[in-house]
Amino acid sequence: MEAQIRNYEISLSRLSYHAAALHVLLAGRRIQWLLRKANFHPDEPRVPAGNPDGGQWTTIGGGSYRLPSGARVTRVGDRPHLFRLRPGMLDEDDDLPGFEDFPDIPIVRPRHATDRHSIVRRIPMAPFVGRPAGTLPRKLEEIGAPAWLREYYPHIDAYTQGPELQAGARSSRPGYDIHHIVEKTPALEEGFPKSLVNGPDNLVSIPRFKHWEITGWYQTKNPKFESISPRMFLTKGDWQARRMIGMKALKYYGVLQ
Amino acid sequence: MKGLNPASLTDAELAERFAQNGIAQSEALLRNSSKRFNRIFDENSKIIDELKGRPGDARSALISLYGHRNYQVRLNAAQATLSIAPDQARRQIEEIASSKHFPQAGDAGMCLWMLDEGMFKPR
Repeated sequence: MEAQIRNYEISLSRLSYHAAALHVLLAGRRIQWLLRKANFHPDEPRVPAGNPDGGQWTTIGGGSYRLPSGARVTRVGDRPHLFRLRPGMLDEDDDLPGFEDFPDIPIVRPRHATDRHSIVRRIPMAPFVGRPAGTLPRKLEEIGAPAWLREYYPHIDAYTQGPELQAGARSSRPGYDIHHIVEKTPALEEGFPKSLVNGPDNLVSIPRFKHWEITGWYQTKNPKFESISPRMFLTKGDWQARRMIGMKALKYYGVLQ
Repeated sequence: MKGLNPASLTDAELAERFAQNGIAQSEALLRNSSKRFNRIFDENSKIIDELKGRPGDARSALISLYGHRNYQVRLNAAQATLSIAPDQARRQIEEIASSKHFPQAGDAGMCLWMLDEGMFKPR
């Protein structure tokens, strides 16, 4: 009899354990559901707690989105989820033509990196920006640009710095990449020694977006290189030829003077 | 892009297609999509060849694109017409290089350097 009672107690204890586990599981599912409903993106950059400029939740277009404090949401036709950079917002002297070509910026962070990059990389190039070196992120904050742009402020800031600053450091910094003057992978594949390819004379810290521009130039077909890419063209080139092209690319892409 | 038959299009239609391709290439660069850029490059090469083979070298139809607001279109047009309008085309490339509108300004700078060094001989 005692053994039977003991067995019942064990079963009850197990049931209680499973009920508690189920409760925790359901609570987790409910939180997930609530976050989805609120359009919460865990990888979206947030203003730190306690910051007087901290973000706030607002409702746009039927969903809840987080906007920077003081953000002005500009209705773009019937598409209120977009933010439009307009002349006068970033620079008083921005009556240059071309601003109408600038794409509207989604309030919500685009899911795909390529979509984000195609927007962000245009910002320092916008004809109405006036190239305010080092001040662009602050200006974007002031005008209440979408919060997701903040993760790219180091890149935008680096891009708008002068060439001396861009080439000055050899270590990795936010918004900067280590760039191989002679392209790394093709050089290693052609048998150049690692000590040369990864040596200090072949490395420079440059803004990430500049790094992408130059890498893109190497990868794309070009009429000046017999309609193949410079990378392909240089396949049989010696170190000096590769280095000369690499240095000229840094110069003409505005990294080195 | 598939199935383009350049021979079936007029000079103006080819120029328009060339311009649209330049805009698409510009976007491809911003998305780090070299494959897309290169596919479009191949089509633009066909357009250039077709225009070049027409009576009187119809690449002159691309000169109207010098004033295009997209920098990639302007650069493509200027490079494609260097041999038929060398001074005009070079001025365009110089303007793009000094505009600081990257990445097109970078490639334009490389173009001027290679022209001056005799490394690029437009045909």
